[in-house]
Amino acid sequence: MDIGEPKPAIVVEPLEDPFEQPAPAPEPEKLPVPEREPEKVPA
Amino acid sequence: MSPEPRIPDVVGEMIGWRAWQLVGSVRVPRLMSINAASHSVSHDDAIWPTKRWFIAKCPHGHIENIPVEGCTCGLYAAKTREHLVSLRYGAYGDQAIHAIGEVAFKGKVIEGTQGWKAEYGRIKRLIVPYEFWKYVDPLAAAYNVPVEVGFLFSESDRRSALGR
Repeated sequence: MDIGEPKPAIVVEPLEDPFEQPAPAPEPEKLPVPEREPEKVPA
Repeated sequence: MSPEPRIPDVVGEMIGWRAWQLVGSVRVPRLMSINAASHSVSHDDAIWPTKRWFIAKCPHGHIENIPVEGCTCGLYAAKTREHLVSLRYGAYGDQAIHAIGEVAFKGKVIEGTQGWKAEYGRIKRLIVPYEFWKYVDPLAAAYNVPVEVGFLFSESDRRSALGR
């Protein structure tokens, strides 16, 4: 195919790449589980 | 080693029109560049992939900076559908052409007065002639693009067929 008179080359970058996989969502931060006081056994 | 990042001149994609031959089967159809054989491009390098950009390779040995100025390498497209069909890339020209469609280009792109040459291409939408209607759904599923049936005649062919 004849493209006709060529212009100088340019670099083209899409705003969004349709083939790019979206980055996985970060895992939610795990909150520390508070330590439970040992149950007091009645004497 | 990853390639050096290039500063884009244009953010977006360049849009053109091109034609393909259908290969494979109705269940697993694929699109192959028309002039691959005449450009010494292997069959595998001429089939447009379904889930990634099609990357131009140079049949003359260039390995970077494709399309190289003054070389025939690169992915080609006409600027408009009308122009593509007028160049006999419709379904009823000299070549066995089974689909035409819109393509988007990125990377290094050379704009000509009548068309484009580019480094990376992807299919945006497809049109197949009526006799290939069975390929509409499988092509849409394979390439994840809209596919429709339509006229692939040039305006002059249409007029002469209608006797005008």
